[in-house]
Amino acid sequence: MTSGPGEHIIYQGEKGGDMKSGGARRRNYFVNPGMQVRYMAAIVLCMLLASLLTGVVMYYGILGRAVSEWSAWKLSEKLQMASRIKDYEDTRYGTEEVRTPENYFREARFLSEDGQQSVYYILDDTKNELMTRILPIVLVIAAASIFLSHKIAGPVSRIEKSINSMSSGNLTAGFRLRKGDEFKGLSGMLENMAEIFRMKIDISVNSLDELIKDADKLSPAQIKSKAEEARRQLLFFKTKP
Amino acid sequence: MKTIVALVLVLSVVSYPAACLYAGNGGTAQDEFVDKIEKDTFRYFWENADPDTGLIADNASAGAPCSIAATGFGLAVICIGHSRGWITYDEAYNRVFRTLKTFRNTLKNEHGFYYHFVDMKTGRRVWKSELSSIDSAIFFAGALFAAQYFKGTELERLANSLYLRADWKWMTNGTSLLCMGWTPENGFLGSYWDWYNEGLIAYILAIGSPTYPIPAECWKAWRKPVGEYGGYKVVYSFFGSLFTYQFAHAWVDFRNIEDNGINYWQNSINAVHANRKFCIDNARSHKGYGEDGWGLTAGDGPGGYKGYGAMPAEKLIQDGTINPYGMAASMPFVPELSLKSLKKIYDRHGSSVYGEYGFKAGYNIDKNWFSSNYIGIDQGVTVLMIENYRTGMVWENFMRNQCVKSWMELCGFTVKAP
Repeated sequence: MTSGPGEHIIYQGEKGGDMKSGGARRRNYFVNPGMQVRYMAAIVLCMLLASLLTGVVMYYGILGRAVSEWSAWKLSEKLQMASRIKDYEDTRYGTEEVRTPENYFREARFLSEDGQQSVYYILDDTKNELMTRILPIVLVIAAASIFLSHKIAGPVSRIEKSINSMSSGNLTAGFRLRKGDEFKGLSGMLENMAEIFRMKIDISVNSLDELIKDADKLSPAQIKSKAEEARRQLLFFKTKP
Repeated sequence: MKTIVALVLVLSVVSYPAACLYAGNGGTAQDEFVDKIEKDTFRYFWENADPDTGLIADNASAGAPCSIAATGFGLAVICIGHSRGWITYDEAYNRVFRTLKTFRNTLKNEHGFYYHFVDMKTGRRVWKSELSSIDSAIFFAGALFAAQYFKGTELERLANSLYLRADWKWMTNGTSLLCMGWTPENGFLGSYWDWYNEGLIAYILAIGSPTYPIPAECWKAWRKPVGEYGGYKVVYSFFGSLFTYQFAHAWVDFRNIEDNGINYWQNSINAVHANRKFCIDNARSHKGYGEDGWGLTAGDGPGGYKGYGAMPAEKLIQDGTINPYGMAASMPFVPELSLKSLKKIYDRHGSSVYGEYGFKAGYNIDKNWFSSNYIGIDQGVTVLMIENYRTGMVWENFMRNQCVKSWMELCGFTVKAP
């Protein structure tokens, strides 16, 4: 298993340990503080914006309507209307003479029911208001998340392509990334690695070319020297444990 | 001598308008007075409606919800406004169409019926009001009138579709009477339209419905008690309120319809005369009552809205309050008396009883109380009845509806030649 510099990933059971419980468990989740903090800040900012908007709409929506709904002016209108509704009912249903305790306080019941209905309507309207306002915010956040995730997905895709190209023997494939992309350090290291590979292989190939070209003219000692040079460069690559 | 001549001259000038008004039936001044009442009252519906929903306020006080009955009357009043040239065709059509669309798209309905009171702006049910059969019926009546007025338009189709949705059979709750209403909380109300009163219009629309009719026998299920007062025989309503003899008559032309010996048109005329006689007889007890102080009907009084009425009645409520629409909506029945009395109270009390939207809701001389409010259904029946008195235009249009013809046919009514 490889482990990049600064990426302190330790796999349990690396040397024959227990891997059955779902693979690696990280001990340190702060593996790239700079990037993680940036992304954490971006997510928190989005959430804050959405929460703030929700809060503002709910607070002012509910407060504004409630203040108006229960203003002295409005209450006096409602009181008059409650009394009128009671009179209408009395006239229509002939309930004026019904002397029950409930009948004495029918205006109060009307007002109470109207108040409850008002609360329901206020919340319902606020919810609708919120939905209409939150939808554009969700769209903006979604667009921003695509832009932000592209900074990760873009380099990963580019690195994958370069590694594939190198696997097929093309060591000229680069790891150059766009400005603002994440994994600049990783791509630099990969670029260095590819450069070293290219250099080692170039030296080996040059030695072997000279050997092939001047084989007749070279002494056995010189042939051995060239061959050893090529071997020495290739031994840089560790192929056995 | 000079003083006497001057006095006669002054008196002549002062009394000229009133004298002119009653110089003869149909005189210019009288027409102007009738026109003024009708036009001013029309303005209630034009100005007390929500511009977006078209819903009309129950009354003119601030914060009043929409009454679907006032809105029903309003649909007809707006058409009358156009026929009289107070608004343009487009203004009338658009307002009525917008209102009907609000009922189709925004207002909650149950089996095609609507809640009595709804919010002016949102159309939501308010005051936990009941799904009301009579108020829905008045709305349908207004819609059906508008359908005939704007015949051949999209509005006609929309208006008819709203009426056709009403499941009248459901509203009987399995009885032979129409229930007064239903609430989601408690189901059907305990009260039914079981007396002669304004409920007639609901029965007419229910029996004549092509989609969900109730049996014609239901017409016979409600009580038609006969009483007498001052020599006038009347099929009377429970409270003896004059509006119960007027609301259905605002739409339906009962003049030539005979129902097993009852002519509801003549019955209303008798009821008005009995009401007036009752007021004359009780003029000593109440200062406002008298030859020109009558028309006891449900309306605003010093102690709130009451079902005022006169004999004959099962239960009498009266405290000296006069609600002028009782007289105004009697115009087709007793035009001379109605106009004379209205002019009298107009001249006597001026702006205390008359304002920007016509006659105000009520007054009580005994208690020196004058309402500053206007009530939608009072104003509505006033405009319709005045128009019927003047041209018969509401009757003419409303009677053309197939449901009215079906009701007459199914109930087997004979139509006497005029």
